[in-house]
Formats: sequence, structure tokens, C-alpha cells
Amino acid sequence: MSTRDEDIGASVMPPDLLAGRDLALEARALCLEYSERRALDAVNLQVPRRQVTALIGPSGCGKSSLLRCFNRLNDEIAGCRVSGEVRVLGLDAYAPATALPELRRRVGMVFQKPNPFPQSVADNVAFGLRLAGLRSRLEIDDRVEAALRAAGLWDEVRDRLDDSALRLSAGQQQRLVIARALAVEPEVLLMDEPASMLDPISTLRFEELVVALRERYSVLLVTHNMQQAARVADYTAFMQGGRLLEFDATDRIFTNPRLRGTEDYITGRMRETRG
Amino acid sequence: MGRTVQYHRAALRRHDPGLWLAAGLVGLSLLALAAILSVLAQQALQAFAPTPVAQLRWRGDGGEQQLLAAVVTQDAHALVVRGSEWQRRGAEYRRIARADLRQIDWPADARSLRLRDGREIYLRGDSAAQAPDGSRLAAAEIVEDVASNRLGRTEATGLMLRRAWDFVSGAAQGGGVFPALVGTVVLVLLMSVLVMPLGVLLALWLHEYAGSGRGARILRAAMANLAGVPAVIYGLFGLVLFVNDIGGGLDALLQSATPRWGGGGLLWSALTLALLTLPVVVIATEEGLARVPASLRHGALALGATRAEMLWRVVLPVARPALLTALILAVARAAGEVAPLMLVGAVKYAPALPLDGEFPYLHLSRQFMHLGQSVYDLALAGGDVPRDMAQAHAAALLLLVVVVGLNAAAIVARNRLRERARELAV
Amino acid sequence: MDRLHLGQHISQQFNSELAALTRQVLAMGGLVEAQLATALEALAARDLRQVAHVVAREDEVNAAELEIDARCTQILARRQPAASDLRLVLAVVRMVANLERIGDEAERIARIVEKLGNAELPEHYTFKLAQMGSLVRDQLRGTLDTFARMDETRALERLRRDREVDVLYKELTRLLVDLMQRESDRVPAALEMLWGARALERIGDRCKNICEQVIYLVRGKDVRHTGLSRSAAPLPELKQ
Ligand SMILES: Nc1ncnc2c1ncn2[C@@H]1O[C@H](COP(=O)(O)OP(=O)(O)OP(=O)(O)O)[C@@H](O)[C@H]1O
Ligand SMILES: [Mg+2]
Repeated sequence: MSTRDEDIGASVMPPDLLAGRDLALEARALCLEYSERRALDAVNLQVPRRQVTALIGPSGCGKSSLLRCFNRLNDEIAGCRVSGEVRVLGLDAYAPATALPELRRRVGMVFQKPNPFPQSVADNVAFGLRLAGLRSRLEIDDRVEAALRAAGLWDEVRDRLDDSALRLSAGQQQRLVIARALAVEPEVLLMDEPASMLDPISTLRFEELVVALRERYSVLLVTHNMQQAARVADYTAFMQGGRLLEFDATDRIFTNPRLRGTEDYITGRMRETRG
Repeated sequence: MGRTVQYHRAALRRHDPGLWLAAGLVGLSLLALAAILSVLAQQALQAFAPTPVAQLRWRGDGGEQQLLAAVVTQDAHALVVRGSEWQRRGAEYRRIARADLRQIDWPADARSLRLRDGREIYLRGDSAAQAPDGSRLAAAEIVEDVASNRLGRTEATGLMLRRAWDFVSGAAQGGGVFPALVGTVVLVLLMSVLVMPLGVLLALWLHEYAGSGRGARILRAAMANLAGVPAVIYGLFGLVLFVNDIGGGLDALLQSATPRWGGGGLLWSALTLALLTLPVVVIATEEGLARVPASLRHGALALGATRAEMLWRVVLPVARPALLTALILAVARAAGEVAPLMLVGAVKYAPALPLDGEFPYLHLSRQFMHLGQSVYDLALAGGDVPRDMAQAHAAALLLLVVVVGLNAAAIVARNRLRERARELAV
Repeated sequence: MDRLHLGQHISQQFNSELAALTRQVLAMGGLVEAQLATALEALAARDLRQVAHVVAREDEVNAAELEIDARCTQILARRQPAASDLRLVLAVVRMVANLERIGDEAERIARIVEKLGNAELPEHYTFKLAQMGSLVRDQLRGTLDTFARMDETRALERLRRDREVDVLYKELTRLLVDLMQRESDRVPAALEMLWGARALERIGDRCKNICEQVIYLVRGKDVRHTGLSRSAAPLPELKQ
């Protein structure tokens, strides 16, 4: 079903926007259905390597669904059918030979709702490390601390590493799951509204983190906060009604998007749309 | 706690109908339980209470007769008495109409002797026990010698408790129910050990791997139906499959001279019960698994966990209280089951306990005794109806206590887990 | 007039803020336009009363600039506008600065009347200057009109018509230089006229700047320093 048609996405994105860039993620003609209800419609998206790409769009437009295609978490949802091509770090994610644990270790995910395990704070962060076969206590402790520091949570939890993670506040939980994802050092990070519950300072810290992550990770960030997308993203993709409508450099999207739809969305306009 | 009580008081004052209804139903079920227990206890006490001894004179068939006997029951019309059992236990019961009764005395010097084999002999004064045929009782035969009519309240109670303890611990005349108690507990524990892994694995497979495929649907339907099959049918099944086929096959394989596995035994009984309780465990476990939020599963998978790792590290720990609920349901169902056991290994008298100090300590192929079987046997044995009936009640009470005890242990464990889970969930 | 759909925000408050902003800009434009007209009339009639009038109203122009700037700052801080909203605010800030300068130039033209006193100049010159004045007035009015209509094609036309002003300016300059070389006693008056012509030429340039902002505002394309006014290239495509 892969169509190497060069003008795929041409209408979505200026022709040589990503010329010469390595791609971390790529979706071609990606369609997704939840028991016959279409949630993604021929999505073409290219996420450049070691850059931050923001994914914006109204609620229910399919952002989370799209994200779940890149680590194949949609496989877990009964009745979910995916067609089209998904490439992760150059490999076909839906190829039969793809080892899912391996894929998911390389593609970390931070969920829309914080989902810490009912375990201690430290165990939460160490979860992925232990899965990866790390056994040395010392090394685990080090990496847990590093991840918590990176997520800006260390100072708040250093004395309560053995407390239940569920006792943390919502914002702390959100940073905890970020730390959990960072701890395994994936190559790509999928973040689904990771800062929705953070206070302004923590949000800024988080944004700093994302910008710093750019050095080593490729980040695809879903956000409903336009300013956040504008602040941290190199590229921004706009989705609506299951379609990816516009992809461009963030500067361009926020000063002069090509589509009325994008403009209406980011400037908060309402218009009778054809759906 | 205090706050809950306050809340309930306030709700009662507001005449909250839901609370009244709930309180009423809880009260009703507690009442039913109390009624069952008190009936059983009352009946059971008769087995251990010292019976007063009377000197009786009445008009019998062959003229006036007299007898020193224990009065077992009496009402407005008649007495039931038991004379000295020189011959055989349970042979000396006699019913005397009040109309025929001439005289009844309760001599203070009356004694009742209890013999090793459960017979009782009644005497007066310190005369030596001499049978009508002139033979004397050996001192070693006598296990209890009580001045029946002179017992104070505390002495009577002490005696009763001692007899009850003897009954339970096996020192009682006629063996007591200790082997049956051990058999029951060992059986239930073994059953739990067998059914839990199997049931949990099955539930995991059903819920996590099979999806809504045909195999899973069929298996689920099978489970639902199996839960409704009468227990005795499981016994038949166990007899055919485990005892005859597998056990027989094993014996043939091991070339043992006497049938060892090919007869009823502890393992086959436990397996039969495990089969019986499997649907309950599977259904309860599956329900527990279904309540583990998908977000946790996804979280684990997204970190690179395989399905098995996800289940082992996240899902099962979260579902632990549900597993214990499954265990509780299984124990509750299994501990009270008698009918199938009679077919696959429970016996009236077993020569040895299934659990002892002899290697390999747990003897899986041995036949065993079971409290349920004891109740059944005692109630239907018919040799010494009043005493056996009372003992049947005592055994039944004990069975109930065991079931409640096992359940309570599991419930305490579950609540502790829940508490932990709640702590984690705060 | 709402080619930018400024009235379609979900926030009604924002809609009215933006509407008020454009209204204020147009009001300031009207004020500046009136200043220029009065100044030109004063020059034609050597009317010192009208000069005083222009000088007096200059403060109003400055006040309008400050107020509009403050409003823009507020919108930036509180609404964090993006895309066309952002461009509107930026364009307004720049346009207002240009309008204020046009106001300054108008004042300068008015003040020439004071400097000239009753020095006479040949009819021919004053006529040329008046011609240039009315051309620039027309440019200013037309420019403000393109903003009011958010009409970037008209803005481009206006932008290109600035050349006519430049031609007139060069012509007048040449004439005045000639005059100064021939009749040295007329140099002070000729110089004043030269300043007047220069001011008008400046106003023309400012109008050009404003037209560029209208194009930026509507098309999102910054056409400053692109030589657009000298080429005949069409505008970039409008979004779907
Ligand atoms: N598990 C599911 N089963 C069925 N439909 C689903 C499921 N998940 C999402 N959908 C539907 O698919 C569409 C896209 O959902 P998705 O969660 O991807 O939206 P989203 O862009 O992430 O929205 P939000 O910004 O609110 O998170 C929605 O219409 C939603 O109802
Ligand atoms: Mg979402």
C-alpha cells in the first residue's frame, strides 16, 4: 500500500521544507479506523530527526491516535485498524518482523493523562531500566536521579522516592511519567500534552527541557497550548478532522499559515466549516 | 471509623431508606448465621455435656424393673435413658413412659465411667465395676470416672470443654474428628494451590491473549456453564478421569503391586475440587483483570515491556485483591463440598493422616477423612443415634468454623492488600 | 471590510478590541489627512490662522499615536495574537509611526507660511507645488482607504503611483535650483519652497510604507526593500 508518490504531502508542506533532513518518523497515506469509524484519513507526516515538531489541532482530530501509530500502541486497542505506511527511524514499523518491545524502547511515549504505576516513585522511573535488563542498583539509582532531575522533579521527590507515585500531585505525576520515559533514553519521544497540568514555571522548565532534548532526541509534541508550540517547536503540523492539513516551519505557521483553517485555529476564530 | 459511624447515625436520623434497607439485610443475614450456629452449637453440646444418672423404678413388661441409667432426654410423656453399656456402645437405650414410672432418684453417689471405646458404665458408691457376667473392667480401660450428679457448674463446664477438645484433637473415644479436620484443611489448601495458578493462567489467557476469538468465546461459555454443574458430577468425572484412567495408568506405569494411585486419594480429590472451583476462579480473576486500567497497560508496553512483562509487573500486582477474592470464593465453595469427595478419596476411617512427619510429609495418594464425610457418616450411621447425631452436629459446627476461618484468613489478607492498594492510590 | 475575518474570533471581546483598534487607526488617519489638507490650504492662501490651527492639532496626532501604541502593547501582552492578528498589530504599530511622521511633515509645511512672510514667488512655482500637494493628498487618502478596505491590490497600485510624486518632486527641485541660480535675492523663499516639496515627497514615501504594511497585513508577505514599487510583479498568492 506504499505509494512513493513524490507529491504526497506536497499540498500539506512546502516542497523543499525538509530537504536534506533525516527523518525520525514518517507516515504515508496513513489511515486509521476505530471499528469502522475513521479517525485518521490519509495522513502524510514527516518528523525530522533531532528537531521538535509540534502537532496541533482541535480536540478529537486524531492527534493521540496518530501518535499511537508510531509506537504501534494502537495494536492494543480492539477494533483499531491501521493502513498505510509508518516508518520509524527508517524502518517500517508495521512490518511483520518488527519487534514491538524493541520499537517501543526506541520510541518513548508520554501519555495525555499521567499514568504512573501504583508503585514507588523510584520504581516507576526504574521500570523501563529494569525491563531493559539493568540490574546494578547503583546504576539504576544514578539513572533514576538523572531522569528525575531532567524532568525537574528531583528536588520535590528526593526525600520520598519510596512513597507511592500515586500520592504525587497531578503536575508531579506528569513530570514523573516524563522522567520514566526519559530514563530509558529513547531516540524518539512522543509526547501527548505533557505539560497540561503544570504551573507556568514548571511549564517553562519543561519547555527548556524539550529544547534541550533536541540535541539528542527527536520530539513529536502534541499540545493545545499554541504559545507552547510556538515557543519550543521547530516545525508545526496542524490537524483537523483526522487529516493533516498543514505542515510548516513553526515561524511560518504562527505568522502566516497557508491555510485559512490553520489560521482560524491558531488565532481562535470560528467559521462554518465543511467538517 | 468514628466518622463512618457518625455518618451512618446521621443517615439513619435522616431516614435514608437505602441505609435502612442495607442495615436490615445485613442484620437478617447475621441473624441467619447466628441461628445456624446456635442450633448447631446447642445440638453439639449434647455430645459433650455430662448426662445426669438416675436410679429408676418402673413397671415394665415383665413386672417391676429398676435400673441405674443416664437420662438422655425427657419430656412430658416419656424419658429416654441409657443403661450401662456392658456389651456394646449404643445398645442400652430404653424409652420409659411417664405413666409407667414409679420412682426416679438422682443419687449423689452415682458415677459414670467412660471407657476407651466410648462405652459408658454407671455405678453407685465406690463399688468396683463388675459386669453382669462377673467380669471386671481393667483400670486401663477407664478413661473417665465422674460423679455425675455431684458436678458443680464449673466442673461440668470443664468436663464439657475437655470432651469437646478430645473430640476435636482426636483423643476422644472412637477417634474424634481430628483426622477429618486435618484432611479438610489439607485438602482445601492443596486445592487452592492447584486451582489458583491454573485459574489465573486461564483467566490471563482468556482476557489478555484470546481476545474475542472463537476459542475464547467457547471457553467462556463453558466456564459459565461449568459453574452450574452439580458437584457430584464432578465427583463422577474425577473418579473416571483421575482415579481410573490417570491413576490406573500411573499404577500400570510404575508396575506397583497394590493399587496406589488407582484408588481414591488426596491428590485426586484436590484436583476434582480444583476443577469444581476453576470457573469461579477464572470468572472472578477475569473480572479483576478487566478492572486494571488500560492506561497502566499502555504505560508498561510503551516502555518496551513484552506482554508477559506487562502482565507480571503491572497488571497482576494491581489485580491482586481480585485474585484473593477468587481464592475466597473458591475456598468457600470447596470447603463445604462432600458429595464428589466420597467418590474420589474421602473415607470414613483412614489409617493414616495425609500429612505427617514421615517423608515426603504430604502423602498425595493416601485416602483421607473429611469433616463433611464425618457429618454424613455420623448422621446416618445409626448405631447410637442420640450420641452420633450430637457428634454430627459438633462435626458440622467444626466444619463451619473451618470454612469461616479459611475465608476470614483470605479476607483479612485481601483487605490488607486493599489497604495497601488504597494507600498507593491516595 | 472584514477581509481578515477580524470579527470571527470566538472571543467577542477580542473582536471588539481589534475593531476598536482599526477604528482608531482610521480616525488618526483622518486627522492626519485633515492636517495635511489644512496645511496645504494655509500655504496656498498664506493664512496664518490655519497655520496656528495645524500647529495646535499636532498634539492630537501625537496623542493618538501613543494611545494606539498602548493598545497594541496591551493586545500583545494579553492576547498573544498569532498569524493575521499578529500581523495586524505589527502593521498598525508601524503604520501609526508613519502617520505620526506624516503629521510632522504637515506641520512643517504649515510652518513654511510663517517663514515665507510675504515674499512673492512666480505663479508657475506655486502652481507646481500645489499640484504636488494635491497628488500627495490623494495618495494619503487612497492609502488610508486601502487599509480601511484591507485591499492589497489597491495598495500595490498606490505603492506604484508614488513614482508620480517623485517625478513631480524632481521637476520642482530642478526648477527651484534654476531659480536660485538666476535670482539670488529669491533664494530664501525658493529654499522654503524646496523644503515644502521635500516634505511632500516624504509624505509620499510614508504612504508607500503604509501600503507595504497593508500588503503585509493581508498577504503575510513583507514587501519592504523588495523593489516591488519599481517592478510590475504580481502579488504572492492569497491563501485558500
Ligand atoms: N479507543 C478508541 N475507540 C474508539 N474511538 C476512539 C478511540 N480513541 C479515539 N477515538 C476516536 O478517534 C477520534 C480521534 O481521537 P484522538 O484521541 O486521537 O483525538 P485527539 O486529537 O488526541 O483529541 P484530544 O486533543 O482531545 O486529545 C475521536 O473522534 C475519538 O472519539
Ligand atoms: Mg489526545
